[in-house]
Amino acid sequence: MIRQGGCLCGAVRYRASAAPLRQYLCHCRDCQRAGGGPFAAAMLFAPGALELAGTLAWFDVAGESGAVVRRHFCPGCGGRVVNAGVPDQGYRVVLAGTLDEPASFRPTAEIFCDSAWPWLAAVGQRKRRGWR
Amino acid sequence: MTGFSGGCLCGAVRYAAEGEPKFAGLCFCRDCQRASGSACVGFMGIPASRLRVTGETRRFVSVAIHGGEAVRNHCPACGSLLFGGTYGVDSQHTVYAGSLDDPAAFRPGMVIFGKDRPDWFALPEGVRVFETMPG
Repeated sequence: MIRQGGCLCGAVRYRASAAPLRQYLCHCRDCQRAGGGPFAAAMLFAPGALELAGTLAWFDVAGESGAVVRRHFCPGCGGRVVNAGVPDQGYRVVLAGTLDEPASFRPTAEIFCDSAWPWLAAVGQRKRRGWR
Repeated sequence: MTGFSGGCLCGAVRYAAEGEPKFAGLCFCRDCQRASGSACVGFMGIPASRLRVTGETRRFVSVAIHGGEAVRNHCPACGSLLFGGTYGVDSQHTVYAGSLDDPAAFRPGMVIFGKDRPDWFALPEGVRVFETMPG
């Protein structure tokens, strides 16, 4: 299966050459505020596994864990596409709503569940905080 | 809810609404999925007369299902997706629930574009599900 996708206006596109290491939902307040939805649907890719085309803007913010997240979005349509760590160790978190075939996204875990919308049913292993 | 407030991730854009939303729901359409990066957005319908937005926003216009315009607004600094409709022009807006200061107060009454809902996303009791748009 080839995982590829892009932002709403199509100016930013990506293609993954490997399967994601993790597929999960992030319920942190930052992901909620950035996307407008209940959570971020997230796919973690290993360094080098993601090819990106197009120009991205970004916003750096220290998350609840204290780690700085670089949140990239398309400056044209505002669609969020990919997050990275600061300092960058090469890992990429792709926002799964941008997949051309979103049915390929199968979450198995959830993080920062203390701020999960209260009526949402669990879809996977629930962690109160992040991965570490 | 006797009013609600929220804003973007960086804080440059803030909004405040008076009174209850006229309707609230989840939209699973592919455009909302791409714009949010999530499975859906939560939306709250509010008359423009009861919504005040401060800070600069950027509009993005796409084609809606019946050929009209779908307008989404984001913060140009941090990209956060905030509300639908053209501020100062449209008579009604949809505010996206993820940006609420208190998202626990958000209760969806309907689902639109239910045809695009992922099978792993269970709906709460009592929501009215539309395959695409109501009506």
